[in-house]
Amino acid sequence: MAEHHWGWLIAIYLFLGGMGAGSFLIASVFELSGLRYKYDFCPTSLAGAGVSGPLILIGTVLLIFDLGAGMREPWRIPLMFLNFSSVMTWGIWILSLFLPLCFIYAALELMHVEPGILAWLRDRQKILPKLLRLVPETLPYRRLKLFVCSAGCLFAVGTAVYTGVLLAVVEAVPFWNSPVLPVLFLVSAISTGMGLSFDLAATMAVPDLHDRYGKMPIVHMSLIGLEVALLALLMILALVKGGEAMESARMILTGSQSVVFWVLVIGLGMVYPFAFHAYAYTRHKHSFVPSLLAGAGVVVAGLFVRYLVVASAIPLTL
Amino acid sequence: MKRKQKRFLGRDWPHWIVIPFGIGLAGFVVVLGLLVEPVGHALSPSPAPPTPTLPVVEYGRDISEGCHDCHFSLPALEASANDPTIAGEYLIEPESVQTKHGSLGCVACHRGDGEAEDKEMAHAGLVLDITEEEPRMCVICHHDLPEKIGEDELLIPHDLVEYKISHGEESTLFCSDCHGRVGHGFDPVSGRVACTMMVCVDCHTEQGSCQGCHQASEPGVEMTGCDVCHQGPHDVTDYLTCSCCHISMESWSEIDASSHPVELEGAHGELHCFQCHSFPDFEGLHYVCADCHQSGHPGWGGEDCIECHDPAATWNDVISTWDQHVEIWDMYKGDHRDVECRGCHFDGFDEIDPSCDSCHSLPEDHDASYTKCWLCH
Repeated sequence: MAEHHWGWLIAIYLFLGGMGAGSFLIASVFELSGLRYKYDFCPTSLAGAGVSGPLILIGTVLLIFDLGAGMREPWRIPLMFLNFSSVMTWGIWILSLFLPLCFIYAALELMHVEPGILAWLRDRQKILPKLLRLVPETLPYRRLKLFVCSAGCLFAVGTAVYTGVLLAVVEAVPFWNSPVLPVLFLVSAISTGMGLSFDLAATMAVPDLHDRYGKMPIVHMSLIGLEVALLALLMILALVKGGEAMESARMILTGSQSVVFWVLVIGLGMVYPFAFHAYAYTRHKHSFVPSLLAGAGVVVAGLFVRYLVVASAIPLTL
Repeated sequence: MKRKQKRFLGRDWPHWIVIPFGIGLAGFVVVLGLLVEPVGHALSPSPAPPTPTLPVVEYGRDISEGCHDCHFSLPALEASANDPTIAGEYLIEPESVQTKHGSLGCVACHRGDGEAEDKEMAHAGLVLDITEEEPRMCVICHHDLPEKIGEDELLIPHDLVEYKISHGEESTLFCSDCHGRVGHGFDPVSGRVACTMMVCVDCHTEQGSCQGCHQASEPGVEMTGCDVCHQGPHDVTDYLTCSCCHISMESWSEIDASSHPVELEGAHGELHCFQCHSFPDFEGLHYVCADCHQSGHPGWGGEDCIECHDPAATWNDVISTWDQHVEIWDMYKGDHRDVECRGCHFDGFDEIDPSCDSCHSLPEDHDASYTKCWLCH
């Protein structure tokens, strides 16, 4: 494996953070638009709400492992909350505020779907003194989720964009130093979030899920098209910029990362899902396995887009 | 009407299973990525390593230890120097290797061989001033330099210097001319040790003429006044020069108040200019006391406080205002002159009853009909 400026840990963190934020956004869209209540069970909302918190948390733990100095001297980590001129501080604040919202949303959605959980909790609180028995008989789930989703969407967009800004502000790596990166990561986050919570998790639970939402392929195709356009723009700008940025782009397009890029990102993650959704939309027919593969392709592409961006960094030579 | 749907996982599976399922899928994708990437990497063509577009700086902290052996020790320098009397000039403070530039290592800038045992071999290929020999090394990191140093209001031709270095043009001005002992304790960033203005003046004086530094096609600079190098915030050059007020070459805040059009007496002389004037062009002040001071006796007296108050003294020291009391008090002057204004005007400065009994009570041995004290007193 090539020696990278930042390694796999950061790529996985960016991927999990982005996909977690994207999953939250997809679940929130279902919740806020009322799609969640069209059927007696909406697996997309449950999957999206349920995976966002754990994925972001795992990514954050990986980030701490990558810190180095922070691992050796963890008491320095709180100082990172105070350097407001740093994008990392913005990110830490966004993540710190977003993570609790993710878990609250997951708990609300889970209790909404499985009412037995609340009853079980009420049952367990009997061992507590009367004053501390705070678990109510029921909760205004829709109203609570309306608030959590509305606030969480802002932080979800912030998280997805921030993962791109984190790299885009690094002037020492000309390939990263591009305004396209935050937008690409936002679109990719939504795309992978949809791939995981809608195409994979929810489809496994309800195989005819795609039949419920006939227009969904258009959303898929739009996101894939936008992602391809942004990737192309990123590469063109890097090639035009020249120097290290051009070398990075060449590494991805024709160099040591080209097979990963063309096969896993473009082929499996863009072309196949786009073709599948175009076919499904025109024929009004979604097959179960190809549908899962399309979702998997989008998610795999999301991982490798971030990996390639991280791995192909060539810093200004000193 | 809500419709029931068939479920792939079957009715026995709880709904919440989609959450660990989703997390598991994400983990699976990550593991898959870690396994597949090396394969993709191996199958990809491996072009030659990219050619750096900028020169390579070989950081040399680790290979500069040999330099420290001599240059940190005066006895060692004297022992090896051709002329021991000037050995001290080559002594380096050990703390300097902790600075940003010092931490790059001696050989990063001075070349030579920091690991050689022999003095001659150690100094082979020595570069005394890298900013003169290889100025591009500086602009690799130091680009987009400021055209003006804010706190000194000082204009710097960084753009010209940087342009010449970047384009390989010959220059007679080097980074080290101003940023001298960088790496040896000089820290222009923190300002702990900053070159004084006299460094600039001396250099310009040494050059003798503009063409000493400036090419014929470039605008020359004659050091005729402060504003040649400094661009202050005040737009007053039509009627003031910097030296009318600023008297120090070290600090802008040292001001000569004697040039002030109105004499600054008492506490006025201790004020900062912009406590009275508007920044930056001294506008909006007409040298009337009421511009800054609020009258303690509104309704009485005009805007010009110095009719009664002495600007060199405190507000309580009031000069005689008997001229304004002539009509009524002319015959009473005497001890009344020693009474403060508030001694009579204790209810304000409005018109008061001039009768003696306004202030004085009638002594017990006086007949109550005697009201005109001044007939006797």
